Amino acid sequence: MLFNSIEYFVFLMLIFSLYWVLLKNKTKQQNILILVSSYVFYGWWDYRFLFLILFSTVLDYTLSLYIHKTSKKVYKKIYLYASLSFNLGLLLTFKYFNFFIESFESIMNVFNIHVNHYSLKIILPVGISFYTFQTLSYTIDVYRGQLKPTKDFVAFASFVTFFPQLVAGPIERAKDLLPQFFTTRKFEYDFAVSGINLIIWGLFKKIVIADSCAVYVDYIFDQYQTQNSFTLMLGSIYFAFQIYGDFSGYTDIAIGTGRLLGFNLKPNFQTPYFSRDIAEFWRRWHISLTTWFKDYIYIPLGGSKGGVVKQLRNVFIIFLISGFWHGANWTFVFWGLINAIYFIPLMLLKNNRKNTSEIVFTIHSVFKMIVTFIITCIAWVFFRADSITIAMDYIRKMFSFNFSKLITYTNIERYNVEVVPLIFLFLILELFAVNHETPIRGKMKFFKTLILLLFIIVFGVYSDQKEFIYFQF
Amino acid sequence: MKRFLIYFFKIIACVLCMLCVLDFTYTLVIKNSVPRNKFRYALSLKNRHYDALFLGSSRVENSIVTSEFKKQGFSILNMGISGAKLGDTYFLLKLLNENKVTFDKVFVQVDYLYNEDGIVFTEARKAYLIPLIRDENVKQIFKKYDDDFLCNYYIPFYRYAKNSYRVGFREFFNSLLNKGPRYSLEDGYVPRYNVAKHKKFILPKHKIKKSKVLEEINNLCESINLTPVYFTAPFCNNLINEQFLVELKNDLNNFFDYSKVIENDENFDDCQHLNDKGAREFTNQLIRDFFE
Repeated sequence: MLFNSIEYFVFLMLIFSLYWVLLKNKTKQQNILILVSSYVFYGWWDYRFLFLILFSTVLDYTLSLYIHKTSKKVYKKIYLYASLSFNLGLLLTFKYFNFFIESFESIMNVFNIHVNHYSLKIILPVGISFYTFQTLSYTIDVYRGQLKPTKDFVAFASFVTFFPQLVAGPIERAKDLLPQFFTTRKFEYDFAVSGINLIIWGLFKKIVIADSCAVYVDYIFDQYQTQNSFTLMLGSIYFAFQIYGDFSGYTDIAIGTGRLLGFNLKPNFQTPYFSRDIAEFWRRWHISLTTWFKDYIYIPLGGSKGGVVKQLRNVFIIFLISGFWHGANWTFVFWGLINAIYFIPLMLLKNNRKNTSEIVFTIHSVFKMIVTFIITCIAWVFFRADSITIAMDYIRKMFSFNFSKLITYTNIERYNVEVVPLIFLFLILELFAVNHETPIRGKMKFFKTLILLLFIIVFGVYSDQKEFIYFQF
Repeated sequence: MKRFLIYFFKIIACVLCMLCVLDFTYTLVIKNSVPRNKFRYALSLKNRHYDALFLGSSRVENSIVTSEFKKQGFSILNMGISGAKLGDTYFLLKLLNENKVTFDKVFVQVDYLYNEDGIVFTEARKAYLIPLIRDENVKQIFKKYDDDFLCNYYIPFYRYAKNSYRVGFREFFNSLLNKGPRYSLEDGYVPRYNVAKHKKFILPKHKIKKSKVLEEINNLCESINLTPVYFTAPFCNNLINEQFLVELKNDLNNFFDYSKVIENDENFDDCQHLNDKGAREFTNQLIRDFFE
């Protein structure tokens, strides 16, 4: 069930009515409703994978209770490793099995050793990376003694499968989200309206920006060999906005939906393309994943403490894992590597926490924003391309500065620059949203909401509905 | 909660109003602008007579050079539409007939298109006509052949949203500026200029037993006292499953196989489309065969 579909709208209205009318102030029953609706929501794609979530849920619920119960450190460790092995094992099997096999075959071929091709026909369960990380954080927090495990299975299962953020985040921590399943949710007008505003803003990002860019991105990347430098540059810029609109749009709808049910989910994006350096970009992009890696991998590895070599090692590890988390392809790993290379000079010069203040627009900061955006776009080419070779070739052609004809008519029956005005419109709206959740703020909020809705209706892409990109991760 | 529900329904009401206003505006603008596709162009023609009508897909659009006919003093209508199937061809013929546009000859491109299951009104071609769904002739077609007719007809703006790629804001904006298409609809010929290199085309292995849509085309032509000429436009040399065309020839009356009439692959843009040079050669062949 896509967030940008009529089915989801009907589904949400139904859940909302049952939740606040029939089950008002009945926390336990509300949790059951959330659990059932989450399973329906997930099963809409493929009901077979519900068993996988259920397995993960039961496993972490049980093991966490054991971890808490036992006083022996060895047993605690065994239970933790069991959880890690099962969860990561499932992730590796479903997401990375074929990748490892194919990579092994490629390496063997380099040494002229022929191995029989073997791959499994595996369907990637939607959102597996997201809910696996969410349950893992719960077990690790319990192991660390930072969280007391819950005995309420329904609440725990609802936390794991909470439908607004189940398939593409934000990856919530148990200490933030789980307690909300135990408190009585009260309907608050302002909170719910802010939820509606977030949903509308998210829909705008997805349907108007991401899906409009997608048409051009698909064309330019598929036909990159015949495009001039200007079109290739546009292609990478369009992809930057496609992926941002797509993913942050999803997150906004998720947070908005959560608010309609009385839940407060963490923000996942904060106008990342106004970042003044790459470190700031990573503090504003996919925040829940970045902080997850920071808390569970980077800091345990020593973080920025220790010598330069250790610091460098930690940075590379974190960025490479981050790249690999996105998908079973070397292009993602390379994308992570490039970001590590961008980040290292800042770290070595101890400038990585320089731009932590609110965004302000001065000539100097705007210049830094443009530079950061350009290097981000170059990295995105690796994220989008089918292989590293193609990405390299794309970038080489992009910087061959062949500007023979700037405006070209493409075989998607559109000029290559047609979506530029939409991107400018988006940037203007983003300017209103800097340091805020949405551009719907200040005076005449209702009028602004209607304007945004009008944009969605008029400029939205409905003929070729696209799934959210991050579903595949 | 009550306050929230009022807020929510206010939004829904405003959205409904927007949809109605937008639907009305889009329809008004698109309807009153110059035609921007061949379906709309066909509807703009009334009480006209042509020497010949050519129907089919891009293999007609890119192959029949209207100006070559003009040079010889013939008036023809090239109604080949890229991506069109026989179903679309049938609807086009029906609309022209209803608008009292007459012809001496009707040429229908039939090749792999023959294997059409039922009568297909393709989505892209449907989008060309959808702004005019409230016109009686168009409505009848949609009512019979569009599964989404009720939504398209009764839900305001649904048809524009669902076909946003073809009749969305871009089409509205161009219509508002009264901007025509990139090629002349009156001419109808869209030339190609590449030269094919190592191309091939695979025809279906066998033809289906009976083409329902061809039967309808036959009936329609019969009702206006015409015998349609079925033809296959040229293919490049590397054509696979040529047997398919033999089967067509055996089964179809008045079928002309031109698949091998252009021998040099340099006259092709790709294996199933002639380039401008090839198109002119082929057109002159047709003129010699049917008009001299």
